[in-house]
Amino acid sequence: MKLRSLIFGLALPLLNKGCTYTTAVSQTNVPVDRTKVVQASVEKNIVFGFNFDNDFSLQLIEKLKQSCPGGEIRGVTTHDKVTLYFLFIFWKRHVEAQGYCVPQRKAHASIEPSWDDFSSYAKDDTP
Amino acid sequence: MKKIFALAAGLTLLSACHTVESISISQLPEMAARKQKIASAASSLIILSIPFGSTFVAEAREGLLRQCPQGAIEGVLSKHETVSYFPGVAVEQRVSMEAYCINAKRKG
Repeated sequence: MKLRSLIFGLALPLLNKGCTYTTAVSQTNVPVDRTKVVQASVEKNIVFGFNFDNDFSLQLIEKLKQSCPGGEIRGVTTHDKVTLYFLFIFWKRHVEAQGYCVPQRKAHASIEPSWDDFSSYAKDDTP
Repeated sequence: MKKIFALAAGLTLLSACHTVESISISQLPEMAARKQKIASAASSLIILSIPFGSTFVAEAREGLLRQCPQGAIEGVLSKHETVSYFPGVAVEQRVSMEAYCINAKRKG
């Protein structure tokens, strides 16, 4: 019985080899213009659980900026995952982001539809 | 035997426990623009600590986009939670998104 438990206890981590778990998800406002999709990802290897900083995530912003020069990135989906490897000695944090690159509009600060577009809704609500 | 039965019964009582892992909300649109509410969700099972895919996040996003193909999507509430059906045996990762579809009027 003890031998079986030992074997099962050792086998389970091996079965978890390469298993990816989602740890966090977020989604920002999505624009109307979704023609150009941009993606970026960063990752970090962690050994024996020693992780002294999470600065790798800051590179994600720079990578997204590089993929959309001169434009604005909207509708960003961020997905934070962790992949566990052998006996949990080694694992990898992986953060990926996908968004839409839209051209900057000089007329408006926001790329989303301006309030003028909803003026008819306001009129419908008035008694 | 009694202990095993008691353990199984105890774990069953914990079935379908929801745990929120992460949650976020984006900027809400003006009150008058909150006419059309849309929602989508997707999930993935983890059996015996073995997950089966991580594409459910993209599926949830695509489900949201399908419901608002011509408008902007604002006020997105995204929630990542785990549902434990039988602790240690079957767990479900679930992502749900709720938002408002804003159909901008054409000018001119």
